[in-house]
Amino acid sequence: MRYFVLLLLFVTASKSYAHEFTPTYPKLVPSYISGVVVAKMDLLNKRKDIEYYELTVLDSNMSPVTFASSDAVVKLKYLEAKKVEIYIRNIDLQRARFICSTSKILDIPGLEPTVVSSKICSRIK
Amino acid sequence: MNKLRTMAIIASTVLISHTAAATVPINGTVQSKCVITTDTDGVYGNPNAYTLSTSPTDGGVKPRIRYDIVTANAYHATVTYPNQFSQSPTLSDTVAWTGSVAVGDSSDAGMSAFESGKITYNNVTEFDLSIAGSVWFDVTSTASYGVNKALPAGNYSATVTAECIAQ
Repeated sequence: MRYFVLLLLFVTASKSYAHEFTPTYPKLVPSYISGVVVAKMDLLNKRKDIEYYELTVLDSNMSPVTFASSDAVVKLKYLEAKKVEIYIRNIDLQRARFICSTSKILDIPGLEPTVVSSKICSRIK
Repeated sequence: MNKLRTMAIIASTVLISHTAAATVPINGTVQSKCVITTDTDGVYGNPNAYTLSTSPTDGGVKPRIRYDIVTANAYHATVTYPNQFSQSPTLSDTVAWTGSVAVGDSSDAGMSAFESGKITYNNVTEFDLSIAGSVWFDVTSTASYGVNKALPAGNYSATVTAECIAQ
């Protein structure tokens, strides 16, 4: 019985997959390009079922704002962490409110019938 | 003389070890963050020919999503139940979607206020994460095809979206 409970706990724990995107309130600092600021974000993939995260910058209506990054879609293996730099022009700063990461679900045969997509948005203050 | 030397060595050893033990700092930083964890992937049950449902009474499994909040009042949660299939056979008729999102469990009794204070519109439910800790949201989703029309055989999947938006 004790081993059954331990096995159950192990199975339950191994089914938990998480997504982290920090800091909550990123600092924007001048970049090496004139008229462009940069925010440094940490992305951590603890979801076994996800390998790609899309980065977006949004305004207060959740409409997209122009930004630049080395990858708009970041490939992250399970338990891999990555620092990503988001470059925003000074002229877009008035509109930019959120920096978001969204898990991308691939159309893989044999996928679980219902899938959870996660999105975390940090706020530019 | 030998005894004095031994005592001096012991005394200096004690002093050295005392100094070494006193200079080991431990630093830590608590920063605000929201972690979204998919505790359970949902499964659609097929109680009759024209319905797919995540309700356990229909043979389904409700998707369960956990939010871990380090700092209170830093985020709000938005959970969206599906209103279309992300994968299905070709469907010639309309699908009627219903669903709900509810607080299933929490680490703090005060988090029951999340349920009473939730805002629902269309297929979206918003929760103000005003208390730090962990909260589990259960999502139900039902899809009914046509007017009691049999769903074509095949694989069906739909996506629940869980968002954490900084305030």
